Amino acid sequence: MRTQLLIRIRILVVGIVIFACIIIVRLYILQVAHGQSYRAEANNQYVRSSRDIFDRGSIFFTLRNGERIAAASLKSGYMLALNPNQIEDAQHVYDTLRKHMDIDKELFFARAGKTEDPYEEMARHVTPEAAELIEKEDLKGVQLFREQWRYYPGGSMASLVLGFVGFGEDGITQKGQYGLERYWESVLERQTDRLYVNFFAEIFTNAREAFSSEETPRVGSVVTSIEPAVQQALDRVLLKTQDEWGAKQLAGIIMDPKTGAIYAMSALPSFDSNLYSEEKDARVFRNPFVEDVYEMGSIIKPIAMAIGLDEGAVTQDTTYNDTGNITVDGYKISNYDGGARGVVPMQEVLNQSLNLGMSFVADKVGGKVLGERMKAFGFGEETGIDIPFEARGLINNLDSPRRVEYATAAFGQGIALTPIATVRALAALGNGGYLVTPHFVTHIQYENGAEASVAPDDHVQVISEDTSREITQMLVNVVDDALRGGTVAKEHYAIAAKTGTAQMAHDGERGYYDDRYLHSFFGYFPAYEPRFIIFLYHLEPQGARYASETLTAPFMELVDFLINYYDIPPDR
Amino acid sequence: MGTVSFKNIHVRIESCISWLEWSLLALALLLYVYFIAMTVIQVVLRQELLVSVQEAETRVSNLEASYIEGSSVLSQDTAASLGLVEVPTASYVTVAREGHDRLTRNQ
Repeated sequence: MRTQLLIRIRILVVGIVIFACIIIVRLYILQVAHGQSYRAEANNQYVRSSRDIFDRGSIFFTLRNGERIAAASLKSGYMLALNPNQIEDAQHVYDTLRKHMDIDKELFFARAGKTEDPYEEMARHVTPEAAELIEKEDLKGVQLFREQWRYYPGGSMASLVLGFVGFGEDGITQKGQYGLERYWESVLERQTDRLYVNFFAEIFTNAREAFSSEETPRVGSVVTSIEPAVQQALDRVLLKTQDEWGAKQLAGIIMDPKTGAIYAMSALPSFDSNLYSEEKDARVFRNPFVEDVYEMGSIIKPIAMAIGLDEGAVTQDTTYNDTGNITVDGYKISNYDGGARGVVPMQEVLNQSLNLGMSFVADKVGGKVLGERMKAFGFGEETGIDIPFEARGLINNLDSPRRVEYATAAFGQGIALTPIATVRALAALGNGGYLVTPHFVTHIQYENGAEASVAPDDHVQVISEDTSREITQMLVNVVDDALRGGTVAKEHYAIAAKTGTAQMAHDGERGYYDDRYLHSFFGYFPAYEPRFIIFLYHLEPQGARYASETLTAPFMELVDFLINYYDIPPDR
Repeated sequence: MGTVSFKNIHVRIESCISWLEWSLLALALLLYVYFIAMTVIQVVLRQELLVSVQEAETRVSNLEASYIEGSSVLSQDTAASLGLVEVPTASYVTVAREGHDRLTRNQ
């Protein structure tokens, strides 16, 4: 009998163990194997609207000492909502809330009056301090929910680069809309629904990942090369220049010519990334450096000259007879003032920015070769910069059978480039002859703690190192002897630079305006081992014809700042 | 006698096995309750920790905004108002090191 009892007990124990195993396996199937589909069905019961739940990776600036500071981070607070059918005395609720936060009276009563509606959002981004005080008031019909939102500590600083996070087409999910926020969306976005899942389901949520063979997306934060002090200096200089010359649009960039890492990029008009919803005109969000194309004018001359030197078609001492104007294919080409210079060497072509001299170089190089070499400088292609909506230049004229197109392309007319493609090409003049990829992001910090370098490392040689040194020397001579009569040259720093004054093309018609110009200025220093290239431009500045009048002072102010900030020793 | 002995041993073995089985069952039940409880606690702790992280992130964001705002105020005018004077010309020294010179700024 006892034996029988033991047998029964054992059977019972085995039965219980089998039953337990069945339950565990069933739980696994429900929560881990099929969890996704059941979670989707149960969303309305278990999960709060994803609109209130926001998480995202950060974007960092890098200080000159290598430390990082957030350019885009998160802030948390509360969202205040009303349950109108529970509010008995709307006036009392309004008066009480007003003591602790700003609240629009009309909006409040409009929403509180919807008595058949159980949920009306009233205010967002309520501070934790205010939320605590409101909670103590214990107001019926007033609810507080935790929320997080994207925050830009710098406000409008580098806003064109950072972009902002806004609601997508579905009106619920938030995604990067411009700039780095958009380009690096796949790294920065987070799935946050599991924070608010019913906590019994939460028990097995992590287990699913442990058993799943799906590759989890690699998400993290991005680290940029933007240096906040340099960015602020550029912003200050641009604002000052805008006040002085009243241009329609103004932009600048400071970049490492050897690596393409960008220290600062700015344009006016600009916006505050925290207040993007207050902007009336969406065009302010566009980044003109990558999205707009312009005929750059004389700023292209050093590139054409470098091609001439590299091809062996001309040397620094080559001369030509400048008669003031020439006719090519029936078109008249003249210098900026129509004046003749007689026999001048190539250095003077750059010093005095002579169009005829550049047409001479184009002729010596040959149109086909010039066209191919200019394309090799990246004209007409995207640079690969890590922000969206990059445009390509318009360079059809570089395939033309007409000589006049090459004669004019050599001084930057007839071909249109994005400013960033122009900067990339100009950087090759000083860095030994290599095209680099302009970029902002240097590293990604993954959520698991690992860090990866993502800075592009490609260098395509477009001119020889000897040519790079030669053209640099010519551009240093431009600053030492010609720019503002040589008065801005620095005794102990070799600076290579060139100005550009381009006539603006008619909108939608052939020809150019007589009174509208694009002024540009580029320079790099220390000239023979450059650490910085600066490029500035503005559209339709008022009160001055030439770029040397409007952009020399801003450029030199930035040079002085960078020399002091980075303690750059003299190089001569 | 031998048969009785064998029967006693058999009974004792059966008894041990029973106790072992019951003990294992009790242990399994205790462990089950313990792990469920710990999981629940971990979930709750994690949610509270996430809230703390969010609050810390907010404090850090506010500090970073103050830093950026403070650094933007620094200018030459600010320095002049504090009585600082710009060095008219910086001195540089050449450091000779094993056959080559290095130009460095005077500290």
